[in-house]
Amino acid sequence: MAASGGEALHVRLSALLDGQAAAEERQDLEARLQEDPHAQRVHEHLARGSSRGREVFNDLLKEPVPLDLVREIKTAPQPRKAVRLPSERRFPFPLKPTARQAGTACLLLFVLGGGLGYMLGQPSAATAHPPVADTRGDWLNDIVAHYRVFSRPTDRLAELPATDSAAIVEWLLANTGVNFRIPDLSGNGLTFQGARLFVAGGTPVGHLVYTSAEGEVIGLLFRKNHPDDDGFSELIRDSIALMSWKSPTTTYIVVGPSSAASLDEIAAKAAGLI
Amino acid sequence: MTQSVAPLDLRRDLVALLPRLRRFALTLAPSMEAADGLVREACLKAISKGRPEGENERFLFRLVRDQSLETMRDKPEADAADLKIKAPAKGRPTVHQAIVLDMPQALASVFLLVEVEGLSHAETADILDISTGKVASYLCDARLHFADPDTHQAERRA
Repeated sequence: MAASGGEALHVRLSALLDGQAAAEERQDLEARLQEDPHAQRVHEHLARGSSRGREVFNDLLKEPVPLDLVREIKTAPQPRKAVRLPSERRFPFPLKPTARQAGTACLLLFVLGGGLGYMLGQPSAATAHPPVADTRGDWLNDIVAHYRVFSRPTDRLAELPATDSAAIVEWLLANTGVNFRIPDLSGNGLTFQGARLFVAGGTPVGHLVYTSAEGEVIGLLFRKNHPDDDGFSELIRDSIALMSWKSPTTTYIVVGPSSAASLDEIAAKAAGLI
Repeated sequence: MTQSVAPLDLRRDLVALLPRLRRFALTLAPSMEAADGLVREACLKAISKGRPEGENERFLFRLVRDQSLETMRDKPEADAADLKIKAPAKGRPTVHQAIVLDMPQALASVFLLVEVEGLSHAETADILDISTGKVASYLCDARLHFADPDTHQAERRA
């Protein structure tokens, strides 16, 4: 009897079972079921099939899902979304000088060039200047090294715990010169653990420490802007990812494991709150 | 600043939906291993593409179905008339898996989506890319199949 191809009455009664029959059709079939024993038998047969089939499929749900399948989906990498971080404001400066402005600029350049040439032509009395240390990039190395060291023992993540939030703000403000608020990133699944202070590239850096439910350690760092700061926004060194943005006075960085799929979103959220 | 949904959400949703997705995939595959393969590929695609706005699990059922067609296209020896991929299963199926695996694929898929998942004929037709008339016809045949005493005997034998 299985898979008969569906006689007209069978198909109509089947549609009646799942409420897909039109109102007129439903009335017609219900009237027929009152009078026609054959239709009643078919209807009962179909209802029995529905009930039996549901049992089979419901029992399938109780079967265990392979752990490797669960793990693979849980850890599948997500595509990074393009998140717009705040950047330093750039003022539009249309380069359309008038003839008078252009003439003035040429004259100024001539005078400056002449002066510079005269100065270079003079014998230099000055001795060699001591080399200036190029700290460009050093502070990022320091941050990566610091993150790698401090994020290992997860029971000593912070110097000041999250409960002393007022002391944290006062301490880091006094040492870094950066005025800030402690962002609440619980919406991103992060718990604030406390703060640290360290030196990177010769400058004090404030460090707010967060952890995720998965045990990832995420740092939100800030320091006063340096003229030699790189303009990077996203960087991965070894297995550590850094995302940065700037305000007119401060450079901020979110640092975490490169496997943290939501780092860019955390940075975007923190940028709006700190 | 606009906030987007935490990216872990889709993966968590997928893990929660895995039993239902595996069950649907079993109606399209020749074995539980093959069904798991369909689910794995469909989920990875969903994660990489993201969930379309306003979509629920129906789009995942569609992804699983598309994945089964894609797998079949990669196997030219598969019979186009029978949408199940003929490949030997590694492990022995459970009783309930065997009942579903023995059914013609379209019947099992339609029955699951309408009778168990509660989708309408039109939604089911959209996922399986068939007409609503066929949905009604296959559903009737599936009910007759399950009501058949031979199906119960096969279950007892298993």
